[in-house]
Amino acid sequence: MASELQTQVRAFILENYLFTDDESALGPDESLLDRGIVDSTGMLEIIMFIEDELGVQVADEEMIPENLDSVNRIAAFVSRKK
Amino acid sequence: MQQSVARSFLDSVERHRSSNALITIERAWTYEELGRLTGAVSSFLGSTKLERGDRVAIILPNCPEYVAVFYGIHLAGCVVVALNTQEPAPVLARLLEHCGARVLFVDDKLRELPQLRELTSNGDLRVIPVSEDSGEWSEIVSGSLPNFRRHVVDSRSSDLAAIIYTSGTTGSPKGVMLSQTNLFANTQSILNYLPISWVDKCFNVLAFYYSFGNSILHTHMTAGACLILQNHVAFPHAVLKRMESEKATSFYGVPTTFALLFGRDRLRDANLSALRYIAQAGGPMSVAQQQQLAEDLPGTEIYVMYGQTEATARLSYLEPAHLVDKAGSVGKAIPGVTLRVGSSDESKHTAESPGEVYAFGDNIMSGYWNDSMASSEVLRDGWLRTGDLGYFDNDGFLFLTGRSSDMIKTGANRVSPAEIEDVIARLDGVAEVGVYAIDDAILGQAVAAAIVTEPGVELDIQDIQRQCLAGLSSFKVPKSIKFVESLPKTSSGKLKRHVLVKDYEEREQSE
Repeated sequence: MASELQTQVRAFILENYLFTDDESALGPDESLLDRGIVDSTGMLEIIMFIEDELGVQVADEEMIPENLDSVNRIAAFVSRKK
Repeated sequence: MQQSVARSFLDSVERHRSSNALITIERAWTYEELGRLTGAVSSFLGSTKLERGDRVAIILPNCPEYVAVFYGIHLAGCVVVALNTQEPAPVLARLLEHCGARVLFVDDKLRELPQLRELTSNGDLRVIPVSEDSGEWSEIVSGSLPNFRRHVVDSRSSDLAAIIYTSGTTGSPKGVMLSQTNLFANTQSILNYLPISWVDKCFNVLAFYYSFGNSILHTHMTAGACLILQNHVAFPHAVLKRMESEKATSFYGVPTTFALLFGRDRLRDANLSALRYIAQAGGPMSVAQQQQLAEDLPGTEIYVMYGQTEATARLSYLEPAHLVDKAGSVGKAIPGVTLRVGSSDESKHTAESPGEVYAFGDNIMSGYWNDSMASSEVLRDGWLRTGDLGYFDNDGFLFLTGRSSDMIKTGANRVSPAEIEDVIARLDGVAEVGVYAIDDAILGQAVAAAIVTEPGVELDIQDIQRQCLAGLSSFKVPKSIKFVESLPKTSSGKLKRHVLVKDYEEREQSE
């Protein structure tokens, strides 16, 4: 069962980078960078989304693949910080 | 024996055998190892039925295999066509067909590979996936010979060495043809003014398949220096840590790279004391951003540079000493290059009335592949029309004020609006479309589109963007799409893009 956070994060990425609302287009554990869904600029936009829309500040040292490089990783990171 | 960048690389292999040529995330590669792999590729190509001048394509990210394949192709007497790894399969297939590639070395993890294989299955293109698990590649690698020089085909200076595709209309891709002389001459000119030597460890984030990254590759391999390969800056903190721990001595970027990596005051806590110089090209960086860099990196020299693919890479540079008193200038022509503004009297061009910048030298391309019409539009008596507007100040420093052509610069990418218009115009329900550039804080410029729909048709923005993604790389998909009743045009029917830009800005302000 997907958490509300996971759904929110996935919707943002689907809408802005894959231009679809078809959830099957992006697996929850797929690497956003390896699949070429976002580039370095896109990752910065995701960080801005986390800070502005999800209300969690991302410190510099937290900007690592383990926290940000898939829907599940982002959702887990944000819920830890909330 | 002719001079060439591949020949210079072989000299470095002999001189710096045990020095590091490349450092990847996994490990370091010595010049000897890289030389052996290069020899293996060239011997393999020599054993096939390829003829001198045949095109061999590369679709690989920056990695040791890219470098070995590049020089291996040259040593076998063939022409390198390195394509953008971000392009979708239909675009890649079209470019491979356009240049008549006979062999393709491709990243076996490329997302588009299955579709690309399908699209190219009818031709006689030999596709070689590059991976440890690929039988063919393993066989090539295991064929590495200690004495590969005897397999080398001697190139002539006028031989075509590389084709670099830049964005054009989809009907006619623009392949910039660079000769062995072009590559060699521009590499030597750059080594004349940049302090690159064999002790350098350059931290490289720029793709080798673009002309800027291509010039970094050849200058460093010629100088016997080391390139630290970093393929993205998505996690800037971690990237800066790597730069620190590797004790990088130099760094190159486009304005977006600097904004992404050095933003958020990150440099305050970083220890980049080994960094001797940084160099910027690929579009204008604001004077404020330059000055911020100079403050944040007190012991580091800053080179502002200017160039374009049609000139192999570099045309001019501003000496670090003039960063303040000539702020905003792209400096003077590099050795071996002559620059001129306007077609006759240069002195009449000022900040108020700039003229077009022309360039001359051994680095200027011979033309666009199979497109004499487009070639003759930009090449006149050996001079290159750059499409950039500018003027010289009283001390002979060049200032650029804008472009006379419509090209959009987004991040490190040069994008032709016509290419995007071609794709959108073919979508169902679209009557007309105009593509233009809007300001973007990180990218410099972003792509925007104004669309006139067919009568009675309603289109969804997301649908259009998704359909674009099938035929365009993601950086070309418009970030902003507006529906309009009609497009602004001149009396002869030419689209007035500047009006679209003005309308967009006015709308943004009123919202």
